[in-house]
Amino acid sequence: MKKLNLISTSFILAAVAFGAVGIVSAQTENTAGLTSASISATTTGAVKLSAKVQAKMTKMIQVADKEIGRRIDTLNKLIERVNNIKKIADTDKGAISANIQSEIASMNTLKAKIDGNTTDVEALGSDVKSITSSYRIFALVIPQGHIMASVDSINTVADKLAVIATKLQTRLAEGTTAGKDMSKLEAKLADMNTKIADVRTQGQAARDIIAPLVPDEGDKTKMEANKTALTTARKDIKTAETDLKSARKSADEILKGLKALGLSKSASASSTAPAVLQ
Amino acid sequence: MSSSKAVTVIVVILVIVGGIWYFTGSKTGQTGANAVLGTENQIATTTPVVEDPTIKDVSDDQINNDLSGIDDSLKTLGSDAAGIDQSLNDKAIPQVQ
Repeated sequence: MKKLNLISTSFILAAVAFGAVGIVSAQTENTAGLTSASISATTTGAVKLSAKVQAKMTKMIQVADKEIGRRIDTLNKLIERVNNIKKIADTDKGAISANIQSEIASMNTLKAKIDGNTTDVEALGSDVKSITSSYRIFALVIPQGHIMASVDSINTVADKLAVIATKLQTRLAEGTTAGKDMSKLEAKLADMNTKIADVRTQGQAARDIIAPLVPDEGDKTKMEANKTALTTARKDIKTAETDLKSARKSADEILKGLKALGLSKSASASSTAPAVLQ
Repeated sequence: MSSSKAVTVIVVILVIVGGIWYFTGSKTGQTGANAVLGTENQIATTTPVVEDPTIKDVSDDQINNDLSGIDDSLKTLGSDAAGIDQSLNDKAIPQVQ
């Protein structure tokens, strides 16, 4: 009787053990979304990946590393540009710089996580996908940084053009004193000054639109709002760029107009001229 | 426990809670990831450097030099603007089959 009990207990234990292996195997298939030919489970719980799956994971890691590297490179170039910004308030510059540094750190952490994953193909897939879906670098941080840099450039060019406009104003006044008709050139200068004022407004508008934006973190409504704001700011910058080129062209035309009226001025003659800017 | 001891214990607890709240608040107030940019009026305007002798030079040559400087700055603006377009047109990573 004792012998019989021992045999039946052994059978029950064996059945339980086989059942456990079956459950582990089924769970592995469901989690990874792979066939049992790709993954097999051992009684010790270790998961062995087929050569095909391992090759796929290696390829995924290579793609991810390349994409992360591309983003880090872009972020590094952007932070270099942001550090050279001079015509933007320090608060804006600091905030942009902090965001970029934070994204670089996040990308490095993600890279380490992806590179270290040699067993979980599903988690790897999610991490690779998150490079674009969760880390909204190209969706917000980089365009935001470039827009701030563009506003800086707009203000830089506007300031330089304002200096030239003042110099041209002096030259036109000298022409009037010499009895020349300066009306056409004065109209051009007035247009140039209007354009300089306009580009400052456009630059400020672009800054005001994008400064309060924050990452969407998967919120589609916020994502669309961010995209619209960035696109609007981009349009402002494009208009400003066109106006700056037009103002620069006007300056050139005024200078040529002065020459045509016999009002050229050499450097030596200019050196005795009164100070233009206070 | 006497009432004076109870009051002391409550005061100590309030000081500890207040201290934790203060330090946590000051840390979250620091500039961190994805900080929202300042809302105050931001663009710093700069006045031309008075000491620069070229500012007083209104000759044709100097104005042409100034215009060359504008062209360089416009190139930088073009590069910044191209960066915006490039980032806005970024595509999702193709998945490995």
